[in-house]
Amino acid sequence: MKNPRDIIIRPLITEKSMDLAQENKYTFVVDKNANKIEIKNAIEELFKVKVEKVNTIRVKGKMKRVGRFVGRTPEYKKAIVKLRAGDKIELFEGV
Amino acid sequence: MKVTKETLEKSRVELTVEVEAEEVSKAYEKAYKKIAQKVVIPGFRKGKAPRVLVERHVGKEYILEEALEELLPESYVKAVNEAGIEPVDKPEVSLVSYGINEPLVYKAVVDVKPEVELGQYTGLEVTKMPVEVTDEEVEKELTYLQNRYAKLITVEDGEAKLGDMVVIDFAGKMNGEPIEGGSADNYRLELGSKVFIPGFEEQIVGMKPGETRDINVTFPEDYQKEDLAGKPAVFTVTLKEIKRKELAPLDDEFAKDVSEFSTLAELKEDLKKKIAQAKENISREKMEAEVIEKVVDNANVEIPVSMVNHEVDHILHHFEEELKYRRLTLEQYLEYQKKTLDELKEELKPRAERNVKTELVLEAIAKKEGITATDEELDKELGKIAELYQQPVEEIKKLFAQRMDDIAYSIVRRKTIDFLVENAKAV
Repeated sequence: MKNPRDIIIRPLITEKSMDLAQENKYTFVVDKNANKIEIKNAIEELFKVKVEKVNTIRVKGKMKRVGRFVGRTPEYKKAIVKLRAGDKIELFEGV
Repeated sequence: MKVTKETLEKSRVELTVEVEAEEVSKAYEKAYKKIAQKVVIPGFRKGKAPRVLVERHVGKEYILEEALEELLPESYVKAVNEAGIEPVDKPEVSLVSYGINEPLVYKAVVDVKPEVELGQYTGLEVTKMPVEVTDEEVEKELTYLQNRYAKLITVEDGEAKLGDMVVIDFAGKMNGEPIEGGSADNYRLELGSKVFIPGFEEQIVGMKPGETRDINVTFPEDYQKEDLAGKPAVFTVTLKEIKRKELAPLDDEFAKDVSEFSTLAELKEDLKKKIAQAKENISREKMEAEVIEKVVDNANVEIPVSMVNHEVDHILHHFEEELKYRRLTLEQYLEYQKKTLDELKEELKPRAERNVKTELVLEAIAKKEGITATDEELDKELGKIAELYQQPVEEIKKLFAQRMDDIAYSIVRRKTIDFLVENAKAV
């Protein structure tokens, strides 16, 4: 897992994540097996910023059924990255 | 806002309208707010997404388009007022330049109400019909009344004559076979009314009540039932009753019966008045038509195409309504006449042009002469309508609130025509 682009999959843009961005906390969907240190390094390399803290959450897929078939929506890992004050990530660049 | 007016031919005007950049951004802002409330972006509730995302999602062009839909009509109405023109059709709009934070420039080409070049419209010579009533006309009217109020008297013995009402039974046979629908009992027939085939009624003449006679007739060649046409037939006719019209003698008694007058002389006088009135009306109508015709001929108007087309549609609409009464659709009529809709429209054009010109000329005269409808006249007109609809005037006022202008216009039109007739020279 050397390539940071393999770790950081995409920014997660929702109402909630937009609010968090006000507090300098940026939310990303990351690889399921990545750990906080890998995420920190990846973000620092990709966006040239200083990461203070990383929180990760595993989002479990929801149960969905189509007729008599039961299934799950995909599971993913979400990382909320707190940056050093003053650093910024332009979340709105080509999603 | 800047407006430049350029007059084209055929009563068309080109307006070049420039709306300032500020106005454009205001409209853009408004349009954005409207759209932002509706757009759903995944991850956000309706109307909660940040502006940048919304703009990227729907595209700035789309918002601009929405803004234009606000901007155009608004600025167009203002431009029309500013330029002081009276459009009669929808404008053809072409954009020159438009963008965010850019002034909006567009050209609108529209047909306007044409200038009317009035010719001579007072002192025109019109023929006035004589409104004298001759004695003969009165006599004719009296005879008509006599016939209308005539009593039917049953003639006990006597022979049927032309003009009598007879009650008959009849049965028709052809080569010994009964004719379908060729028989009836107690049929009332007026002799000489030519309801039946030729020869039938004539041969009843001379019969007496109770008499039975065989009548030999030949069906005419053009009879509607083909199997009977041109063939001889025998009708067995029994005369049951003869009723004869008895005309009341023309005297005071008659006058009392048919009218509220007590003497014949008074009745005659009244009839004379009525005939005179009717003639007066016809004469007046003719004079009106003639004077309008002349005034319109004397005037010069360049009528825009769209007005004529509108009028053509209008006429066509009326025509269609008329056809409906005859249980026909326009399509059926066209098929019957072997015409296309376009051909029919083309045919209507001269008439439409005339109508438009007439209205324009009358309007121009009303304007020039300062003819307007006063409030009292409006009230009077509304009262008339109220009477017609049998509703209180207040109701009518509410009902026609939208159409006050139309009512006022009809009064002005009426007054203008009166003015023209009064100022015409009757010959």
